[in-house]
Amino acid sequence: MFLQNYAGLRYETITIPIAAGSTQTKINFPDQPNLRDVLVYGVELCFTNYTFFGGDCGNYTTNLANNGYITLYFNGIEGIKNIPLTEIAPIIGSNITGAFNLGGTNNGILGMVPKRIIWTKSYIQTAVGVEPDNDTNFVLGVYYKLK
Amino acid sequence: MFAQQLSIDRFENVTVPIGTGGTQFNFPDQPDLRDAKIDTISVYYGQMLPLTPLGANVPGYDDLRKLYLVLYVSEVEFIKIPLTHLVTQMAPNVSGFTSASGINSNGYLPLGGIKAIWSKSYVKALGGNYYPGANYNFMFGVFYKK
Repeated sequence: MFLQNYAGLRYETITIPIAAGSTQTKINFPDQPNLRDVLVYGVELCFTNYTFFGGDCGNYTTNLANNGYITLYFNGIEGIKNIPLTEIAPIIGSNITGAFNLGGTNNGILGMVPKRIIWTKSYIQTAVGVEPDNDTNFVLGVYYKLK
Repeated sequence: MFAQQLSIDRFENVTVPIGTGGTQFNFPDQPDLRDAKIDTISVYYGQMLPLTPLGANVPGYDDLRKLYLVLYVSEVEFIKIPLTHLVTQMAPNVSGFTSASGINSNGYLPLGGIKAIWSKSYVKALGGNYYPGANYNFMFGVFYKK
């Protein structure tokens, strides 16, 4: 349904490592050299443990997905502030064993009026500590064009 | 019918404290949303998002069925709508939902860029006093432009 809107765009994954047992409630994005000054057309919470489980990448936790909020900084302000991660999850929750308990949204991909996001001022906020049992990663997908 | 893809410009997470309960819950002032042109509003519920960003509890889906949103534009009640109509995310652990009902195709009520008067807007409880417990907030997502 949405694919045609994203045809021809580049795609990058942002990975933020989260250490086992971490109780941090604010997760800052590392600098993204490949995404400086690019026009971002959409972001998505991708790769649940159902779609992209295991391997070296690991996976983010249910606790993070259901308690996390993302803030994106652009134009000198936090223009997208505390949008639920579930709001940008293209994976619809199901009764498949191992799937995260994520709901579907009409949106899935957070399609945007194209923006130049300052990643180092953007972050994930959670109300409670993430506390994964094992080292894990938060993985965000970014649709973009070069400037 | 409303399942259009949103092209988001800005987003604000708006919470409304429930306190010790009542039948009407007014929105706090929203300085960041003054003169905002609202594209749509979502409501979130506890089975999907148990806590607000600041750690308050979020009422469950069953509770939304008892509540509606009154949104003022200028001096009139522009919208009076059940909160369930503003649900855009379906959690599979809510009774009555199935895995096939993962997408609420009626979500994202198009509001066409209205400018809400938040200080006059409120959530109204049907059928008397509403009190889900200590430290609960309603949580809305406001998609807007400036």
